[in-house]
Amino acid sequence: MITTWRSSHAAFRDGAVEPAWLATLRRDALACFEKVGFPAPRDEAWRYTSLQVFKVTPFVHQDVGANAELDALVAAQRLPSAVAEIVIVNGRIDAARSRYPTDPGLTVRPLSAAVASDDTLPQAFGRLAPWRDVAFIALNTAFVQDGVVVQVAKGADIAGPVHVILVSSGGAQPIVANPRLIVQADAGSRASVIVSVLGVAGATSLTNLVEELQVGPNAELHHHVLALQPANANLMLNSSVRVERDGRYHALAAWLGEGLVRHEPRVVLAEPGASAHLDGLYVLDGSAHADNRVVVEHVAPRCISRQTYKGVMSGRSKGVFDGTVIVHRDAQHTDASQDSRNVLLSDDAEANAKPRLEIYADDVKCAHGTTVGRLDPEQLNYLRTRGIGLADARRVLTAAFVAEVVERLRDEPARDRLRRHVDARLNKVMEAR
Amino acid sequence: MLEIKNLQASHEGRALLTGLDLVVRPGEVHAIMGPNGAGKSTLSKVLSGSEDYDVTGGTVTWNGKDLLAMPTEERAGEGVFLGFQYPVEIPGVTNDYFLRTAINAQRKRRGEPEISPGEFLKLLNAKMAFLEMDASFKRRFVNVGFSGGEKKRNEILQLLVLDPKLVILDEIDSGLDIDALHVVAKGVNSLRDSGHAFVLVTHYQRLLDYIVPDFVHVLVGGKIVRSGDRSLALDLEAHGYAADRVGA
Ligand SMILES: Nc1ncnc2c1ncn2[C@@H]1O[C@H](COP(=O)(O)OP(=O)(O)O)[C@@H](O)[C@H]1O
Ligand SMILES: [Mg+2]
Repeated sequence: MITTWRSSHAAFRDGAVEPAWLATLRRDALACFEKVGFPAPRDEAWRYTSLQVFKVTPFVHQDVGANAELDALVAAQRLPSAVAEIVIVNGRIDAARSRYPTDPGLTVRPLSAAVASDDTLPQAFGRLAPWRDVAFIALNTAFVQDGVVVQVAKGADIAGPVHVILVSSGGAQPIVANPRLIVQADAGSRASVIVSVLGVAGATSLTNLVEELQVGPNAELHHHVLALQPANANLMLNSSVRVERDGRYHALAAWLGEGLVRHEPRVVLAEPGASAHLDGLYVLDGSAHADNRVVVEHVAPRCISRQTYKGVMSGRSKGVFDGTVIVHRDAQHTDASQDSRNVLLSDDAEANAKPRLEIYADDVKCAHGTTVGRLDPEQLNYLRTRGIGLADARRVLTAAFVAEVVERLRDEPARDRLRRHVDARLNKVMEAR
Repeated sequence: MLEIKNLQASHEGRALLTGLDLVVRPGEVHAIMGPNGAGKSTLSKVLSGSEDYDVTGGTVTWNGKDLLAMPTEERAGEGVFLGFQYPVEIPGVTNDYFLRTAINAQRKRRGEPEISPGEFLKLLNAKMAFLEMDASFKRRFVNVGFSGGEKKRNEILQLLVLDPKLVILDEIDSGLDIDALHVVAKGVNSLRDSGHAFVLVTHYQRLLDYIVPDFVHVLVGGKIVRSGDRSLALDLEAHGYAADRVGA
């Protein structure tokens, strides 16, 4: 298995022209991947998600040309508010479908272009993501084809989001893509980055995305990932975030696809006064699977973190929230909370919620709560006495349950889009019952 | 016309309605009084279709149709409305969205087109003004953080917006101060005509000073033990239910 990756790496690298630092990094990352290997079957961190899907399928890298289905897929998810929209198909930038910003405070470039021209990239690339320790990050580092590098200048206030659309297209062979997103929000800036993950129905694919997000002093970064992939389109997402003095990081991870999602956000509140609001939302049915493994590290004093994850599971789907807050010795006056709320709409659906705390400081405020349950029968009855049918009543209550996190999304068109997808998914879920 | 014959219902095996008879004709207001635990709320909820109770005997017809055979939402579509003694809080659902969804659900059931947003807003604004409700209640989550009186007023708002034909109000007067009672009574009285039938469940005769009933019934031990006119309520106020309890 592992050796397959080595030989495919040789083929992948054949004839590539790249700066020496990247070639070295790739080689080291491949060696690390071989050393670390995929998680073992009994690995506690992978208790709820089978790695089988990543192992047995001989994923290949593949390019696509013109594709009407893909065009329609992308067109439907574009955001009118976006200041830049970069489309990545099977791991490679699709220049014809992409649009770059004109705002002087914002630089958005393909990773491939930045690699060739930028002497600051070697410091940013691989700095936040633990590629030596995590197999999928090592893999991405060894095999990265392209990606997006976003730089928000000091003090810049960017209204619209930078929108990155990742698509895996259909093909005879299963497809693997290893895109990378690097965001650098400089001091006092404010910006949004939205990632949409799409797939052409019917094909098997793995999108192994690695994100490295740096939130500078007093900067505010909004980060929203929306996955809408069809069944058999799997998303492996590692998000490494570092927040500096008084910086504010707001994230909303929304899993509304039919495939498998494994998300590992690692957020480090590195300097005093930094904050992170991590929202999660998943509405799953069929055999969809969403596994969220969140780690927030309070390194500095006076930092705030909030995790609010809301899951709605139907069919045979499974939603996992496994969140850890680590409060380091110097992180006095930490204020951290974790909240995982789950609604099960069917007998075969499953929810796992496991908040964890590791505290090494003595003056901290940490709270956590989890619930797993059904819709409230009294609320259902109340709606029905007003003439709202059972299926609609369930839909209304479920939408209300997730509304809290949907409404927190900063960009309005993105919020409308998310609401639309949540409604559509709920309609589908209710119909199937 | 509502016809209840020998209605029996239980909760977890315990008989709560024990053979109840009642006929309510369009245009009539019937008050149902009785001590705590007599089964008044049970009657209200069984009529609305609550699944908490098992109907073990008897019949209920509404305009000739078998009400007991219909699920809750269908009864609402047939014009049955229950104003709850304890209105339910629904976090995340705004009052205006809730009402618009309810109107459209009922219209759909009757094969009518949806209400336009403009038309709905006009209707809602008019009814809220009539009930002296602040416009902010439109955007608030249904009953969440409402005071007892505000919840009851919100029930009457739903009543006026949905305009049902059979109006069952369960202790709509409890927890109301005198001003709120005035407003609630004004709302109910505004619907009084030959097209609406009312069942008012109440504990105190005070409500009946504001909404004057055509008939008064005494419910004890799960059935109606005495019926009369307005003066019965005054009599109960003076002497209590003791005599009826013995008789039951
Ligand atoms: N859902 C229920 N669960 C348990 N007990 C109930 C329920 N509904 C009614 N009861 C019981 O049945 C009896 C009648 O209740 P209720 O109809 O609420 O009386 P009233 O409204 O006349 O005060 C009471 O003893 C009450 O405790
Ligand atoms: Mg009662």
